[in-house]
Amino acid sequence: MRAITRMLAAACLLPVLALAEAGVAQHNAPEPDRTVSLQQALSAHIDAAGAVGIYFKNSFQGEVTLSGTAPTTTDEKEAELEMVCKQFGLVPVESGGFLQVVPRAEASTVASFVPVADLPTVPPSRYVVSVLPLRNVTWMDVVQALPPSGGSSGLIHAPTVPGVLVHGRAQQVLRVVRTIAAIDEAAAVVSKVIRCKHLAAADIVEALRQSAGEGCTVAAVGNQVVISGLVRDVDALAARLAELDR
Amino acid sequence: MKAIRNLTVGLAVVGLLGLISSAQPASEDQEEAPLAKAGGETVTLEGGQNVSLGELLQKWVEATGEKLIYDPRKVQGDIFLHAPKAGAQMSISDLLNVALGQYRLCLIKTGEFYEILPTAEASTSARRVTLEELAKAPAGEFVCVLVPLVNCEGNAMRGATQNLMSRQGGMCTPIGSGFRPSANTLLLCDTAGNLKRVVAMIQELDATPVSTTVVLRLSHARVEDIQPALASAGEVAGELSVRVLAVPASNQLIMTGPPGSVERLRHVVVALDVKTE
Repeated sequence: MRAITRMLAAACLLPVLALAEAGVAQHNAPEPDRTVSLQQALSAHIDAAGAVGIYFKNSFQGEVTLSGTAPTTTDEKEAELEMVCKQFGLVPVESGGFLQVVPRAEASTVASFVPVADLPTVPPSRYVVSVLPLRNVTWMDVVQALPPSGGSSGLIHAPTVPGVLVHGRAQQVLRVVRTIAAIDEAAAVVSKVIRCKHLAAADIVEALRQSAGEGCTVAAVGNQVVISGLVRDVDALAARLAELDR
Repeated sequence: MKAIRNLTVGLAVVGLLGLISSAQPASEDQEEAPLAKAGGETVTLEGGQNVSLGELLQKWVEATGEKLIYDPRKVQGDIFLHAPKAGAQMSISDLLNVALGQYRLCLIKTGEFYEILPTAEASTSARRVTLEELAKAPAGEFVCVLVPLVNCEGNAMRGATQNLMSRQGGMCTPIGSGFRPSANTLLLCDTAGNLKRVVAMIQELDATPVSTTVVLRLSHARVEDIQPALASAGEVAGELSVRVLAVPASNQLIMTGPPGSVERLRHVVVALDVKTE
């Protein structure tokens, strides 16, 4: 009797287990590819964000194949529109209260200006322009130091102002701005005034000058030594001075 | 026989006229859809539809009561308006300005009349506004504004700004850079919407002082003793140099240069200006 009960219970459980397995399998299965047209991506974003788009319908055509889940939130729909437009060399931007789609080459002329402090609050895919004042380096220094962006974001040509204008998707702009801020910070010049304890400053200053790195200056005032330059150079010279002045 | 033929032709003409007259309202109804429920200067947009510039101009004249003069042969074309399903309310002036902008055209008031000009010519007739008026100007209106610069040089700022102006019609001219440097002002012409963001960026770039001057009186050290060390510290390679002048009569130092560098040297002076045993 017990054996029959077990068999019946097992028979009841089997379909449940099979269903659960099927469910897991379904959950793990990759989402089917989707074909999304520019118009569909735009409609989805417009309906979600409540924006009004204005464009030439005939010149705004094309479709791409997308993998992964369909967007559900407003930000995801905006990101999908940006990605779809990107495949056609276009950028969606809000200008004059309307959503417009412009060629990527013109995006910096219409993209929203977002102060650096506000960048983390902007949807990551939104095309923006930000300004970062420079204190220690020039625009040319930044251009030479930055890795190539692959055309997805960039610096606006402005070699003669004390700052950089960075345009691109908010997420990329934030990353570039942080890199530039680090470059600017690393180039900060510092000065240290060190009082000699055993040696006369005038006797030691020439030896320090000889070993100073390029761009580093050393001067003596009374029994004090003034060292100026990049942080790492000044720290190295200060350590050498401490060693000599034992 | 001739009478019957005339009657038949007459009926055919009447029928044709009837068809045309019944067709006209239908087509108007279709085009009315995206700009339905106009009230004052605001229109409600729903769904998506092509709208002709002519229709937008007509709606704008009805809503604003302004006088408009234009050549319909030169102002032709459709634009697709795509509004959310839930609908959206827009100012008819903003709508017209942005639609004309797609065709590189703009609405400019000349005397009592508005006319439609290519944006490339807009700067010749655009309204001049102050920075305060710019904040309130409709985003699509073409305007000119003067932006005085405090720290940056006009020509230098122009280099950065011209890459932000509209490709068609945007204009940035420095005033007083060479002949009268004290003016140091930029004349900008573009749509008010674009100028608002460009001016904000100019003001942020111009906020950082390029140079500052600090005067320090020493209490213990003599200025002629520390001036050479300061001059050396102020000429670190890779950084703009600081000019250090000593005034022995009053035991004062005058330092002029980039604010960060001057501040660094001020700390050096404080460290050196101590009582010696």
